[in-house]
Amino acid sequence: MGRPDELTAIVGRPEGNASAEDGAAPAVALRDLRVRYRPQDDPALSGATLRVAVGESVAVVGPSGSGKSTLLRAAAGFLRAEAGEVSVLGLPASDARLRGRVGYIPQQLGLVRARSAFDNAVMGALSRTATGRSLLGVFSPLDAEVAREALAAVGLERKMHDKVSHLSGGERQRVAIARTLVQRPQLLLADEFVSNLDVAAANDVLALVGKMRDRGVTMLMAMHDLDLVAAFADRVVVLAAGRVVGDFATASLDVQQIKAVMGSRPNA
Amino acid sequence: MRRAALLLLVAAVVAAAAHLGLFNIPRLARGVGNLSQFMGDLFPPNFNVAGPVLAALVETVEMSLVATVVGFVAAVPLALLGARNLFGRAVGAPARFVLAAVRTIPALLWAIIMVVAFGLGPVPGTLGLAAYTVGYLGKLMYEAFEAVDPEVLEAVRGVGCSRLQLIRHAVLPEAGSPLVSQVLFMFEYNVRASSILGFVGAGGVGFYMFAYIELFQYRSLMTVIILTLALVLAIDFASGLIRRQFLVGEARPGSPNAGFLAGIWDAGRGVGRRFRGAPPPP
Repeated sequence: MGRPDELTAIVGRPEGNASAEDGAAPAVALRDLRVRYRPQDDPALSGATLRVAVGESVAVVGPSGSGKSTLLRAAAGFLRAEAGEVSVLGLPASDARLRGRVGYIPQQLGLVRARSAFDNAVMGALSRTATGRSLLGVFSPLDAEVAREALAAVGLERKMHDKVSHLSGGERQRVAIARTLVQRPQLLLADEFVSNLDVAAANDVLALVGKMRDRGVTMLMAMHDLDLVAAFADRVVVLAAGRVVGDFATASLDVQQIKAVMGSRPNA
Repeated sequence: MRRAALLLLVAAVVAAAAHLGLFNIPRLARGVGNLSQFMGDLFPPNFNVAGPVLAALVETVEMSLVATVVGFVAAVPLALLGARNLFGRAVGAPARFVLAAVRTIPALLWAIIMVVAFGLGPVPGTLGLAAYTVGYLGKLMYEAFEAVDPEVLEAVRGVGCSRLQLIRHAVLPEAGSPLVSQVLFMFEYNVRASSILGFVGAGGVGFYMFAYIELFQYRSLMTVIILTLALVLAIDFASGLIRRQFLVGEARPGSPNAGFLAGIWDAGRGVGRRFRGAPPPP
């Protein structure tokens, strides 16, 4: 599974330098965030407050419908807040200056299925590729090489030219990671992207992501397997009914306590 | 409730048919007699006219091909602007209005307009078909663009791409199979439509159809019908092959490309295997 040495080499440092550029700004800061998809719906987030420091690795857990995906999508700048604020790396989440600095892996991975693994991986370089060149499908030789190395590092060098629609679930997960490796974000937002894998495959995939964390990439990931959470994250944030109802350091993780909090209702 | 709705529908159809005069039995009886005489006049076909008719059919295919490609190229930007998931409602609404307005005018009327503007011949026919193609294909395409999985769009936006990059690297590839299918459908439609554009002097094989009807040369008309039918069947077969190449090649369970046509093809292959006694695929 993969070649960790190469992975470490290609991940390198993330694009930009968060600490120098943004001072003491947290990687993610949500303040009383309220998001509603349609006016007639209940809010998906109803006053969520969260702060993730640069370099931290935070897992978001909670029952289905608790707002985990919404929280990540809001941090990625895809949603308009009804109330409250969300800032990322010291900027509003939808700010164009964040372009390319925030990686996002949705639950279903968001891969372009009609394209090859390589085509998907090299898309990670779009933010640093001139629009005219990329419209012709031309990427710099360096980015193409990085994409090839990223795919080799996640164990897909032999399937580089296979269409994503022909790959297995685990292989697709690795393509999504390769795309993020090529992007070199400062912050990675990932939504339950190992939820469909068995424990061994999930550990493999998380080991790859862990390499990024070790190189200083801030992580905010929705997860549901508390054993994986304990092995991966520095902190566990518990969401219920659109609000943060618990915040624990994994060093003192008590699974029963977290389960109890997940089942509780937040105070109105 | 359903039975009442069904009865209401039947009553509406009967009332409409009566209003249209479809229950005028003596007239219908006379018509059936005329029809059988007309059918008799069509045979045997006069294949002496096959040469010029084939040349006109080639012109028909040329008109359809050029009109489909020109219409497609013109429709793509309008369809992209009309896709609400790419440019929002404020831009999408005017683009959709333009496409709807173009589509409202049928191909034959577009051909008449172009004949008035450019004179007789295949040029106005081609331009008329191209105009209709823009309206029709534009609608099919913006629907295909809007059907692209929003997670794919968010994930590719997430790498920090521009809107044009998003269209080039995510929207067009994801909508590729439906687009191929729609363009082939439009080409088939244009071949059929262009076969009657000759009625208004806009080129193609329709000129011969119209002329042979006017001159009561029904055996020659039958030759035109047979050759046109052969052409349409050949094009249907060829486009079926292309569709299978694009749709089945990518289709897997759970993939948005596993479309209706691919389903039919897979079902057909299953039946064929059983017919030949071959084992099912693993």
